[in-house]
Amino acid sequence: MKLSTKILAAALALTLSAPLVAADLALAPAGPNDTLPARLSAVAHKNAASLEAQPLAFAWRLEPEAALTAVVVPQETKSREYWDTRSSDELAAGVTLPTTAAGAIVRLSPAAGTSTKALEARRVVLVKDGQRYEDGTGMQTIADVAELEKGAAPFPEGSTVFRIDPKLGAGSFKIEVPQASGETVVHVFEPQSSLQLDLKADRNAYQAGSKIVVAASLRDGEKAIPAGEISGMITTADGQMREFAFVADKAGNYRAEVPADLTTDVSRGLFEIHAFASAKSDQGRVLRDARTAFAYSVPSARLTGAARTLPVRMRNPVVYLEFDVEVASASRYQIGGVLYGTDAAGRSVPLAMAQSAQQLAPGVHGMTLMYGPDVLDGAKAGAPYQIRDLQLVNQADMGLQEQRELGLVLAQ
Amino acid sequence: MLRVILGLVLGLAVSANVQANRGIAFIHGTGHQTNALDDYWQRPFVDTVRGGLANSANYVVINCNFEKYMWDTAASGCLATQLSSFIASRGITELTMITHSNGGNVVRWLLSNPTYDSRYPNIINKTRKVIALAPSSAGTPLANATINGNVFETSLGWLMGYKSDAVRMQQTHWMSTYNAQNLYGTAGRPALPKPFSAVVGTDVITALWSGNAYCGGYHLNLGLEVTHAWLDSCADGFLNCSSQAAAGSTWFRDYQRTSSGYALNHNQSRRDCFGLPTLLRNNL
Repeated sequence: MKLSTKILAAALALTLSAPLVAADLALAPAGPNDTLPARLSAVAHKNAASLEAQPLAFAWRLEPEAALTAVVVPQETKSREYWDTRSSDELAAGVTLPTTAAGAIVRLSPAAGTSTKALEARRVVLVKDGQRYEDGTGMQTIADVAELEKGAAPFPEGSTVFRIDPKLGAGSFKIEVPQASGETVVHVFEPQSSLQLDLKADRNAYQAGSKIVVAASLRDGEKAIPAGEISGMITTADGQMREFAFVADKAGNYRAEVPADLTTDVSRGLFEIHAFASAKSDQGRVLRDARTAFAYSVPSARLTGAARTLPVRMRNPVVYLEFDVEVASASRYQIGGVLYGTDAAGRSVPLAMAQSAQQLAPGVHGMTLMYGPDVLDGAKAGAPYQIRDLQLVNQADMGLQEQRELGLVLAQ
Repeated sequence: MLRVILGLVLGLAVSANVQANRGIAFIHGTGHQTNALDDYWQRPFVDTVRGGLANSANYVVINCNFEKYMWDTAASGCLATQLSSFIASRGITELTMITHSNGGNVVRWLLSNPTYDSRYPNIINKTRKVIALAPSSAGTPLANATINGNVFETSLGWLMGYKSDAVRMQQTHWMSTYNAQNLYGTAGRPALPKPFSAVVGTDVITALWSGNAYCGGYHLNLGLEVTHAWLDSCADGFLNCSSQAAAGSTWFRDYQRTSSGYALNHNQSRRDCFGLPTLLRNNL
């Protein structure tokens, strides 16, 4: 390389290098959809010691055209089914199954731990309006153990499924299952029914100390109908249950608020909300069960609000940030965020995602996010930047510690 | 001068291509596999696909316990061990992962959480793309139906593995929560760091007179026909099309590329049916 070329390269490097001076920043004010811990738990995490020991960082490019949502709206469950557990005596005597549409599907499964004796649809007697249907008559699409095991349905061993012949219409059926032993789950699914129970939580993730808001609605098509009975239950990941009550509003919808003080020992897995409703409808008696899920965490770390750009010997474009994290219980924590830049039209567009994680002891520590030339070269947007979907997670249980839709605004 | 520059550019391109050492990993779905080559995929499928590699020995068939949650050491931990070993031993520089069903979720966990395990970054950096055959990205109503009713039992029975963690995880409302909190690649969420292209199965044919019904095993396919009652009209017998297409991009819906436009049911999307392995081989 000629001397002049060397000088030019050095000059370019100086021109392009990122600032070597730290600049203090502050997190943006929290928004209504953000999750911020009310208090931190110092309880030790059971599996913290078995987590990865190495500090790690990773980043990748995002398409600027992508429409991202930092806080995803929770899914609403729409149920046209109900289920119950019945004893062998009850099933031998006959169990009534109300239906509201023709062609209901019935699944019978031995309840866990009580029986694995295989049930056979052809030995189920179906009774409608005093008429008895035996040996598979009155049924369509029968599937016993052999068919179910060969298919992909992971139903419990010994299950049987049949569809009630649509010609028999809707209304009240009775099934007699003389071969049942132990307890049996009786599950009725009415895909053709206009009656459904909608169930939704207001967030995908809750923290201890917050409030779980549950909405339910029994609907006939688009119209809410009053439930004769409606109740709910939350099951924690480790199997603890808590019942709760719904309150009706004038529009016929139901709502419940449950304090999120469910457990301090969070296992992996989600918590479940289960609602059950019964009502009289134009189609007769309707029964519905619905379930939805949410993540639950007991936070042990939080963002203090202080952040800064870090000096780095790297050519531009580069955004290197440090966030202060207060830790109350030792674990491996992960921080992540989406870097947005401003394009030529002045729009804020996503450019890259970055994560880092490390083991942290109690105290205040800096955690970094690096968006370097590997993910920003050629980007069609630049400063001013923003960090959105800023998340702090405890990798011991992947529990959400803090989440901010808008984390940071970088003027330069 | 222009010819020299062009020659140099071409030389660099050729040299980059020559240096790439491509490999394939076949990643099974739900289940605890110890011989997935014969029990899950079957050899004709694997042999046809790996025939598309410059070195057809550059393949690995993963055997892990995908009855567990995706983050479990027996699931993604096992996957990381086997992928790392394969990459190192064969010197793989460009890996194509071919997943089926829940295998796509385990891979998405790895791609979405690169800082969870020190082996993940190297695997991701070596990955060229993921071809996800019928991925259960948004779960399946069949998993919901399986679990329904059992929450009323003693919690002990529920927790003792009577229902596998993977079945619980693939309930639609659970996958919705995981997609919102812990996984990337679905609508509104950041994209995954590597392309994730789905092959979507749209139907189950079990008519006795249809040859389509027999590929992959008639009785297996008959079982899938039964489950269709829980699913949308567009479904492969286990998964709705909407679930299969929920993460990444859709490479194709079966009828768009398979021979004679046949549908691929959930068993057939891991079998030598309707030209599927050839389509994969030609897309490595």
